[in-house]
Amino acid sequence: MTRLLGKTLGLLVLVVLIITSCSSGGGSSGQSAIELTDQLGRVVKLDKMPQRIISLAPQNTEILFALGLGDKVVGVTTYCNFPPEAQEKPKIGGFSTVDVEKVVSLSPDLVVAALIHEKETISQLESHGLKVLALAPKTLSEVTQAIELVGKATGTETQARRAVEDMETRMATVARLVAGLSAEGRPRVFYVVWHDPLMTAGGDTTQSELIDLAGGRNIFDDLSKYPTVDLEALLERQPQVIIAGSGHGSAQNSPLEWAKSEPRLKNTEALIQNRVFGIDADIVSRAGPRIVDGLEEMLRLIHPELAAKLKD
Amino acid sequence: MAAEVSEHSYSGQLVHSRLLYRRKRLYSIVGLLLLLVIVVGVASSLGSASVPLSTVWRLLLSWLPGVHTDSGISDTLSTIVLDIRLPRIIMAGLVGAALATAGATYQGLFRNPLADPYLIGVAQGAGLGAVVAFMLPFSVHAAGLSLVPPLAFGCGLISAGILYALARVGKTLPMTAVILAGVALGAFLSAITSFLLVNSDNLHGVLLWLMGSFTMSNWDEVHVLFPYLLAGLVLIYLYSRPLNLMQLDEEQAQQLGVNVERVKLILLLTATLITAAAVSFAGSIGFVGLIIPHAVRLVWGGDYRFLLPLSTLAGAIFLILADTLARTVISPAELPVGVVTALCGAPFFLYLLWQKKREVF
Amino acid sequence: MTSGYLQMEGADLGYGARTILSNISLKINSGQMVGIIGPNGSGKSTILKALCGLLRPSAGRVNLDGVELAHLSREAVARQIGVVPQAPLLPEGFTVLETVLMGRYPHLGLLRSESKKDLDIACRAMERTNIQSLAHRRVGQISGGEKQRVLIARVLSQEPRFLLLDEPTAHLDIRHQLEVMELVRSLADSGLGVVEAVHDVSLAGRFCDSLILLKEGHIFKEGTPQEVITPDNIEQVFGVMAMVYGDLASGLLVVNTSLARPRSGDGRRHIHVIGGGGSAGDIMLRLCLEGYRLTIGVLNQGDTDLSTALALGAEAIVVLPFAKIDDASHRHNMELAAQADCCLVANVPFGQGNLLNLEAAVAARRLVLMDDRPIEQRDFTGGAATALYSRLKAWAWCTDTTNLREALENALLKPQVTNAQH
Repeated sequence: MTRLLGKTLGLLVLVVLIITSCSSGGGSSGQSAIELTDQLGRVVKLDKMPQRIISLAPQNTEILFALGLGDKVVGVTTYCNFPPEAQEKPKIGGFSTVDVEKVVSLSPDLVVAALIHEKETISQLESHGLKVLALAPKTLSEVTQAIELVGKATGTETQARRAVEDMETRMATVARLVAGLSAEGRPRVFYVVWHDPLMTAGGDTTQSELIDLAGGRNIFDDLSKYPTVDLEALLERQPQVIIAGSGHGSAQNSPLEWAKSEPRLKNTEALIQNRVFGIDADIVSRAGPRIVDGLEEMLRLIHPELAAKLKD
Repeated sequence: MAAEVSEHSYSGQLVHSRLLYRRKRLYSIVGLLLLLVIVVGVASSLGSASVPLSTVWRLLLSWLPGVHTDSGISDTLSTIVLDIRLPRIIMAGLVGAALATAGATYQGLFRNPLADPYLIGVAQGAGLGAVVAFMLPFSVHAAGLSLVPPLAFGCGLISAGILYALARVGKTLPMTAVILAGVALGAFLSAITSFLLVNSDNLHGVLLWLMGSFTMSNWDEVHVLFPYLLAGLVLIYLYSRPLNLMQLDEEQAQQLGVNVERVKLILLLTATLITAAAVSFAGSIGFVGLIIPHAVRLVWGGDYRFLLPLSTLAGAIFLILADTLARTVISPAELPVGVVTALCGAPFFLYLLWQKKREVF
Repeated sequence: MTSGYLQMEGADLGYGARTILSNISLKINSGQMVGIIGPNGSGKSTILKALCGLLRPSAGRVNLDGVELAHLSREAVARQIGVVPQAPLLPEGFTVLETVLMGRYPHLGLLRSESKKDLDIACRAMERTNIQSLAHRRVGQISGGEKQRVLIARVLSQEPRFLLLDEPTAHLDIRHQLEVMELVRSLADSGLGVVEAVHDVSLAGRFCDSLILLKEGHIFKEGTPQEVITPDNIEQVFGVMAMVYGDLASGLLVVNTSLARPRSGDGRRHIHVIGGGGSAGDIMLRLCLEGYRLTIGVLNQGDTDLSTALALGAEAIVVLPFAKIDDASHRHNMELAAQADCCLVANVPFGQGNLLNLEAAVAARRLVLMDDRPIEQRDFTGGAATALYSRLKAWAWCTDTTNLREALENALLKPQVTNAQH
């Protein structure tokens, strides 16, 4: 009698154990919970793979789409213009003006934020119980880390790995091409963010890093962020190449047109040698997968002779 | 006056003191003019590019006809001093002159020490025009002169027209109506401008422009602004005596022979137009129009025959100095010049209050 | 100074749709001083505004030496017509000299600057108004009276031919009021044409050559001060009972006595007073306040009762001082006594000179005798007055001052007594 009871009990316990161990996995794919540290040092816990993702920055949108998560994206900013499909997605506000209500109403299970959201937006979103992953890469290598982070959070590690490898290969190619340049071989480059007032990119910006990696020297790398500079300082630093970021939205080409037509620049080497170019501002400022496109374009503009050796 | 003093010598004394009063002020005007020239010279030698003093003077002197002291100086240095610094300094001087004179005129017209060139909404209109110009889909640069000034000025004029239509009563222009309509109009235009800015992609750049800057000033701008400003100033100076009389109320001024409505219209229009022109080129630079006339008044009194030209000169000197500071303090980066004027202006305002409150309260 | 005139013809004046004054005509010649008087809000300031061209009449016109003001420029008008407004704004920062010099603007215009001649003129203007010691003081630091003189100096430096003043004495003390009025008078005497809106009727009467009395948008009366300032006119326009004394020293002196307005018109009862020697003064005032129409006789010139009577606008029969009462006057006295609803004999002493007055009382239809002092004490005729008095007492009412009103009312109720019954 007791032995029968004991066996039944033991069987019951076994069954219970099996059942509980089955259900502790959770989710349709049975993945276990992930814990990540994002680029703002925050610990993010996700207990299932995100199906509804919202991006709070154009570069994040590009990353998401590059990882094939396009159909899981349910909200983007008004500035997210790449890839074209992103423009069809519902808008949750501008870059710094996130509509928290809208975000919450879309019931995302992951929100990908940027550095600018650190102060207020992230805590507001978290107070509504949302999961926020913040990307804040400052250098190109941190960009690749960001991509991998997103891959980990969304279960697309393989695509992430592939994307990163591609980027790293292309970056290495460029590095190889410019490796042999001497100091004189690195032209002095001036990057125009805007022309009135005259704004440029300081040494801690992505544009500056790209110029450096592409074998040039940003003449204002002693400044930081995006300062307004004096025209005479520009002349004094004798730019050999002028690259103008295409203006956003309307007034697309104003900086470039200014650079080409400003009479006081006519005696600079850049104008004399006719080395004044425009570049898509998005690909050199967005810390996303296209940053390498930006790098290669920079190379083409600064060292066309080296860029000819690039494989497309 | 002792009763024994004869009539002749008493009147003689008065004449003498009056002539002395005039002469002192004329000397002050000449003195400020000289100071202006010196300030221009000093400002030309300061900047983010280091140019030796001797080079600066040689370049400046080479401007005089027949003087060729500029041989051997590189094109770059020449461009820096003569094509970047000098037009910028002169623009700052012109804009400072315009704003200070307009401010003094408004304070006289409205009989209110708080009046400044931005009171009646025309500057906000010019600002709106500038923002619209920046947002145009096509190029905003043609033949060295951008489209911003004409568009800004045009919008300024339209605002002035709307203001006039709103404020006038029959054939008269009551000043109270002008202030009320102007403040409302200005607020409205500012709101539209803010709305446009928030929805624009280049928020940062346009905001900086609105805050006022001379970074890209060139000779073309000077050539356009200068004759225009000169004409405006001369017209205002012409009406300085009626402006004195209008410090009495309008009725008394009329009884003393002033055609009050005509004077109001001319002065209001001219001061407004030079303000709109200044803002069109340089953005909204605050405090100059408000503070300079007060400073001049403190030293030289409130007689508009002298207050106006002295304000013109003091305004030019002040803004040149402010702009020089703005472009050298964090060189090679720049501060918006409106920030510098505000930093100087606010303490000065407080100082004024400190002085006056003893007297008044 | 060339002579000329400033004239308003048939003007209607108002602000916007409101017409304040209708059909106003007046003329000021050089050397003449015209005063405009009237209650507050009657339009005095409005007329002055129209006279200097600040206000256009909606009908009629204003002309200067025959030229319509509307056809002259502001400066041309300011060269001829100077205005001293009422309590105007004077900016505190300007000095007295600068303020006075502002008056030279119509002669200088936009372009010319002040010359020695202008400064001389300003100087003289300041001396005329006795403010030369204040020349360099700021306007904000001087007193109200001094500010008024600054305004006058300013208008003097305009060298106008006509001067308009709006209640120049309104906020001044007695001394300064007189100073200003005397100054303006001397200006008129030296050839300026002056129009002044005055709120003190006595001052106006004393200094002005002619007066214009306004009431409810019309000219109620115009003429010499004697013609315009009468108790009747004042009562009708200002709504107060006033006594007007003609005084050698201070001209016409108006004493406003009471807000009570006597019943006007012919409904009033007529009381003929027999008085003299100051005995009837108080009584007359009381009776006037009660609403009776008064006459008095016969009085000698210089008698205080006569001053009171004139002040009250009562008709009085007058003979030369110390003279006997002549026949004509006595007859007139009797007529008035007979006409009156009641005759009243005051506590007047009787002597040979005025015994006839008592006899005139006999002709009255109703009679009241005052006897605070018994007739015996007032009889200086050796008994004749007392005898006459006793006869009158037979059919008259006797009363003392305190019961006077009652007695009068009783007397008036009773039917009159015919002569036959005397």
